[in-house]
Amino acid sequence: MNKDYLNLIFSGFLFILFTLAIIEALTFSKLAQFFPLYISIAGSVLTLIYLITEVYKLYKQKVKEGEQIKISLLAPLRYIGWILGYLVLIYIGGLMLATAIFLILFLILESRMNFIHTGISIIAVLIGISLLSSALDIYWPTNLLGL
Amino acid sequence: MIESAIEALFIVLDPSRLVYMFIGIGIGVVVGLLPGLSGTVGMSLMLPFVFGLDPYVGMALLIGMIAVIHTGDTFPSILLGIPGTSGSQATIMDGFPLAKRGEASRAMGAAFFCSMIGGVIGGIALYLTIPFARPLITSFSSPELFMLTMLGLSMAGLLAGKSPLKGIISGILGLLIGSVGSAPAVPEYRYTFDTLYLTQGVSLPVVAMAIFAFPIIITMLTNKGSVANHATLQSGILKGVMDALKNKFLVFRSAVIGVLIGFIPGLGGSVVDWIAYGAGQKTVKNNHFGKGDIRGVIAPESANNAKEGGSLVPTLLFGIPGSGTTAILLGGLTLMGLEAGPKMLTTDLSVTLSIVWTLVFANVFGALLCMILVRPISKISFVPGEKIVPFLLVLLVIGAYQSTMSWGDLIIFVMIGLLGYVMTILDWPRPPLLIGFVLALPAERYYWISIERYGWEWITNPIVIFLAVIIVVLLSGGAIMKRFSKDYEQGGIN
Repeated sequence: MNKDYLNLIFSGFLFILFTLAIIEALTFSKLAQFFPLYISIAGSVLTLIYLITEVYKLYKQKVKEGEQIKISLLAPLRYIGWILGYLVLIYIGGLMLATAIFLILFLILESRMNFIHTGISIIAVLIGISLLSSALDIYWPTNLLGL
Repeated sequence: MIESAIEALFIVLDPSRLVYMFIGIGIGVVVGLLPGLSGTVGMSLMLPFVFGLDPYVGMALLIGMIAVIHTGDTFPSILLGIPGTSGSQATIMDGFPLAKRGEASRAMGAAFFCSMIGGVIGGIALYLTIPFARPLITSFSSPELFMLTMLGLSMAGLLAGKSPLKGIISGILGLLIGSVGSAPAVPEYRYTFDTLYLTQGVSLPVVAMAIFAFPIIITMLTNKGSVANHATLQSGILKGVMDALKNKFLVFRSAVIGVLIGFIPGLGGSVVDWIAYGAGQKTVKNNHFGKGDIRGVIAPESANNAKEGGSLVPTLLFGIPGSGTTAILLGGLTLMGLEAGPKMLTTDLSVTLSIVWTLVFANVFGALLCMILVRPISKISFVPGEKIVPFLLVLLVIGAYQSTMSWGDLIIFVMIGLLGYVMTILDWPRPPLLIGFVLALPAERYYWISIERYGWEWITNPIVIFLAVIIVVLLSGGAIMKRFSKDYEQGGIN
């Protein structure tokens, strides 16, 4: 996707976010209101200024037929999918089981690691998590299976 | 003061705390030598684990790590020509040509030794600043403290790179995220959308990890295969050390430059090495900088470690974070029940002095560790990103969950992580967001107290006016110094 257009979409998103924050801040009492209200107004105004200047720059760039930088979204989306998948696995089966499954799949499919190295790595990570958990009193995310 | 320093020395040398310092050193070296990971990522990874720790232990861990990142980042800079962190860019200019000539060990010997000396000078500078800063900072009340938070927030513009407007918007976004939860002036919840999780506000470790570490793991995966594999290691570390000793005045000069730049919030990491390199090139006679001159390694490496001591002065004593790393450190202090500012020089003076000692010891041990383990450590920098990332992700998820032990932490981690990634690919600066987030609560609190106690009269306070002038001078001075370093970065080396 064109980087400039993506930047415009993101700036528009920020403008909407700040504007919604202003509307929400108006419902707070006076003492709770002043800080979020002022910063939201400042954010909204500055984002609008930025948005207008970017649209103007983009218009000028189009006239000059300048180079456009493309950003590939497919590869990042694939890896974001891996992260979300890992979290879903934790939610279903718990941290240890999910970590083992995630590492097996990722190391073999994405990292192209051989089975022996994958096995050793997973055992080392699971032992490391257990040691860390007992040493630093670490809590694991709750899960549906209660594991 | 000397008695307190000796007392702090014994605290630091306690075996249980030394263990944590060595863990910090180990993590710092690894974070430094992996291209792509920076001090902010390392700090954000560690932050969830310092919650509730004894402040001396937590500081041993965090400062141990910060101190040696610029020692570890020498490996990829010299061996691969890739900066391990932003503070080692200038090292490449001469370190990489030296490696290509088969003198990588010599370059690394000089770099590690200079990092050690620079780091120790930084620690001494932090110690020497305390007696001068104490009477000043303890006289501050809410209007002055509010102006100090404004000074910290003004760093959003300085850390923004090419577009200050983007930096300011990013900082305001951080302030907005920081205002989620209970209001300090009145018992009322804001932006919680009737969820119990948000009533305590968004957790700092989660925001820090999401905004810095999440985008890095995606970037490391999408840019796989970028790490080259061509430099070889031969003996010559001692020769490098001797080179550094021969150029002792250059080492000292560069370290002083590092400390002074560290004092100025907002300049820090990505600038210090270029300024020291540029100053070295101007002052060293008969040099051939840029073509494999060992003095081109000595100058930036002496400065980037020394900078850490200098940068801790505004962070610890005034609560002004000058970079993403120090912004997270500021949050780390809060998690351990400490507060940056006057208390760090009165009731918590022993913690401040323990930080000085940790900085000194970590630099010495970190450099020695790198010298001894140069061969095995250097192999890690050849490991491709896609083999490191899955393990990092596991650590991140566990770390994020420790904040409030709620699934809300993980959901916020992904949401802010995605925001951080979009900001990364669109060149929106992320450190200002974290600075805004960290300073949101003190800014609101000090402003409210100032208005309640003094009305609008506080604006005419001479210290408030002086701090306002400092903000203007720093912003304009910082821009000039950044331009100076950019001249070298963009082919100013003749």
